[in-house]
Amino acid sequence: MSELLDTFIGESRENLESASQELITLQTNGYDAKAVDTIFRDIHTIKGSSDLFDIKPLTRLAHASEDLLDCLRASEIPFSDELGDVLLESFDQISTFFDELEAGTHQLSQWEGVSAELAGRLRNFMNTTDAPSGNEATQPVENAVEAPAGIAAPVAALPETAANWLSSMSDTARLTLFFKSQESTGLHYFHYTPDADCFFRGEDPFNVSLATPGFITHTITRKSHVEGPEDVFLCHLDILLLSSADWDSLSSHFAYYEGQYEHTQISAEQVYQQCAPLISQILNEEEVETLAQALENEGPEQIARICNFVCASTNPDSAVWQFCAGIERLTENPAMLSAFCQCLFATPDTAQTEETPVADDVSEESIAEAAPTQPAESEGLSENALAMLKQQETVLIRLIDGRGNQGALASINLIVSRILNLDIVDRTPEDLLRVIASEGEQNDSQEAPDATDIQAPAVADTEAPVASEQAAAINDDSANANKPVAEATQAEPAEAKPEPVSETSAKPAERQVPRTLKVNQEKIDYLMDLVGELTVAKNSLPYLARQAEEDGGSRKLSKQIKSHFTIVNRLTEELQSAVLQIRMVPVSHVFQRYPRLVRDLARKLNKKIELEMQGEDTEFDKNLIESLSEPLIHLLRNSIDHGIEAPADRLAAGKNESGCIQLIATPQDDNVVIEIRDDGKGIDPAKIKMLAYQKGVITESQLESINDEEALQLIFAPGFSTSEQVSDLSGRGVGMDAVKTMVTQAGGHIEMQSEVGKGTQFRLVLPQTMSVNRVMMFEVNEQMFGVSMDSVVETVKVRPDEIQQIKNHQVLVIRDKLVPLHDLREYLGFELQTQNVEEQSILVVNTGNGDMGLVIDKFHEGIDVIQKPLEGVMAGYSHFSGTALLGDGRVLLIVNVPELLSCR
Amino acid sequence: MPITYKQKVAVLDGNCEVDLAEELDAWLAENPKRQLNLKSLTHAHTAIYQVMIKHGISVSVWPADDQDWHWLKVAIDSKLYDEETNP
Repeated sequence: MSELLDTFIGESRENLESASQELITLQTNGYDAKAVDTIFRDIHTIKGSSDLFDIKPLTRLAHASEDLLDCLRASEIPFSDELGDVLLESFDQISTFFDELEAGTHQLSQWEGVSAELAGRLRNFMNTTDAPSGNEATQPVENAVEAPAGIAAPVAALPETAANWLSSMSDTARLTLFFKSQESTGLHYFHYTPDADCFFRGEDPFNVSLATPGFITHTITRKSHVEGPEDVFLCHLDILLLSSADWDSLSSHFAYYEGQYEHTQISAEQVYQQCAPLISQILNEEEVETLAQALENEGPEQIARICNFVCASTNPDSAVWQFCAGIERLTENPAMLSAFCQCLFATPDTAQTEETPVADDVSEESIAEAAPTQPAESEGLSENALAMLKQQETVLIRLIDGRGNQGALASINLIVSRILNLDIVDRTPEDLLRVIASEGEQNDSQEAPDATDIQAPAVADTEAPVASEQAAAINDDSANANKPVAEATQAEPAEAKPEPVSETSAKPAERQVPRTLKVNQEKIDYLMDLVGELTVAKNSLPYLARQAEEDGGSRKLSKQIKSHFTIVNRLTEELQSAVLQIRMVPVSHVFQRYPRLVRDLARKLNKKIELEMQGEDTEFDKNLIESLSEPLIHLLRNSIDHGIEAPADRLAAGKNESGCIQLIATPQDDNVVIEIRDDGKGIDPAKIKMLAYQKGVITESQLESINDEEALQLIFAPGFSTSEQVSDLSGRGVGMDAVKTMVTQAGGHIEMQSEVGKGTQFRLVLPQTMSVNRVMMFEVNEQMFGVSMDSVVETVKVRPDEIQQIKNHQVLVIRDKLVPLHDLREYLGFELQTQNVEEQSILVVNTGNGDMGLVIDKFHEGIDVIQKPLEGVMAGYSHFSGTALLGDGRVLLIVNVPELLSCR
Repeated sequence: MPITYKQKVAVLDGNCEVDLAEELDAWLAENPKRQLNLKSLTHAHTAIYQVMIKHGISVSVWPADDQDWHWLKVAIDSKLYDEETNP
């Protein structure tokens, strides 16, 4: 996929998201002119940019949406839920087009039908459904002739430009046109006058013309009058175009260029008039004498034979050949041939009496009026360049006001960068305006022979655009920030003189605004991977220090390595923190998709549900946010499907008819807590227990022993589903299990509370960043394992006789507190320790359900690691939350303690 | 590169987009006798054609494809005619 298309899709997706959100708001809160404006602008941008790539089905759909929104804006039609639904459906379809474009699986031919169908439904809402969408709607086609073969209606004059053009064509070209007009229901003539600034909208008039359905030929002329200096980025051309396609397809094609063309239908007879003298001349040629007679008296077969014979004996480039070949084609359609013959012999001299302007006259006139370019070079920017910058300014202001086509921004970036010789990429309209304004000031100060030039010549010398731009980027806290160059130097001449570079510190204040840079996420991920590698490499330094001391016997070297480790460690942490900050995005990134989801599902289930969102500005690591998207969808679907009751049930239960789901994000230390609360019917623990028992998730004894709180946690068990009837929304028993796994894999945990009749609350606690984890290393059966330092409470070493036995469980009393013990050898599948040991190493961890003691073989130090999720065959093991690479190259398995302990 | 500038001839190759127009304009403005080789040109933005027409360029080699380039020849000739009659 091309970079440009990639950018287009990325930006258009944002526009679609924004438009969809506004539309949902519109449906919820009723008509709002501002919201309609926003949606219109978003879709207008998509439509405009899509035309760059010639993706017609996409453009057509976006265009129909835009037209409908325009009618809404003008209050020509009322807003309704049905209209909103069709618009949303169209946005979804556009999104699907983007998916396929990205995946490279798109087939434009298949899109045509979908696009046409949806565009038709959109246009059905408009009063002007049947009206042509181009100029033809308002502009009467003065010269239109309805007769297909052009002989029934009186002959009207062609537009002057068309007549001039046709008469300037070569004989063969004219004959080709003549026969084309005979073979179709006349021709369509377009005088296409592209807007001067059309290049900035991404339009390419020449290719628009070439892509016209039924394209026959075109010609390009310079506009007769060009205002101001001739700018290469302004369009000064007119295009005259002839097509033989039907009006429907032509109007659809030119719908995107409203106001830029004039259309005239040309009858076959009108074309004949242009060719009559030539045809008369041809018919008088000796070699077609027989043909002329045959046309008057013979049938199609004989005429075809004669044409064939003449073609075989004449030069294919000659008018005679062209004429005979054309007639031979006509013989395949006797009706057309008959019409042609009537035309030929009924009005043989009409054209000779017509007064047809000579093409050369017009060309001469139009060309004479065209203004030649006068490049005015100066020491600073040329006149042309300044005019061009001025033009960009106008377009940028329109963009900022939301009136222009955002698709032009990339072109403007490019143009400004080329004019100013700056490395400008992906700047915002505001940034570009500042850059242009700044260059304008510099240019003014160069041209004006004022005090600045005299007092501080060094200033002018250093005013190369590149230097000033770089300096502006570096020097953000200038003392004279609010003063233009001239003012600053005039006010403080003494200070300015000895420091020529002080010019750079006198940049206007607006340059100091933080700049935004869009970067491909892959690049940041790569940077993050490098930080991970650096962390691993850093971890090898303590090993190296130990080796230097133990094997090399150099305590001094060991100390030096440790000292350097401290520095590298600090720098790595800072670097890591900086990279992580880049990846932080607000949770609204994910939340914004949910209003639509809730709305659609609620409608499907005939429920009334309001979604309240809070804390959308809470920042979160982008990767974590994305991994969170699916679990949240599961939870929301469950709340909508199982939680919130039908309106009648809610009323019967004394509740508001409309249910409420709250989605709340709250930062909490290094974590982000996301809560999903609903005021639905809640979950009945007794019912859960019974279902779990029926499904074999719990035994009969557990059925009696587990309390309500434990029973609720059973919904996270694999294969458990509370839904008595599986729906297409939820109830397949994979949702909650999958949710828990995904949250755990993201390094978080999920909690749940529910009260029958009141509602349910899910609480997802997730780390704010995928930061470097501090892990406590330990050894079991001579293998290294790790456990997150966050869960470690303490490490203790006890004599075996201090361990007590209660029923079948080993426990340890630590400061009057009973801590259950679990031998990790048993849990990890190793042989149990049979030898008597003097001391047992106990790692006390908090699992969320109180403290637990893990019996291990040996403690090791804590280290920083970048935890990676389990992949490949290990991916299904929930006993481990991930792996990490140690400094000496070994792989460390990081134990997921709650999961490991729950397996027994 | 879509446009290779030699001393007297610029060779246009493949797809020439709008951003190349200014450079081509400046190159042609430096010396009106310079020529364009369009043999391998497959697509050009309108802005490129506009520059060609503006300078009434001389084409050393026309594109090898079967597209009808008559319109460009006419447009360029019109420019030459303009210069001859309106010096």
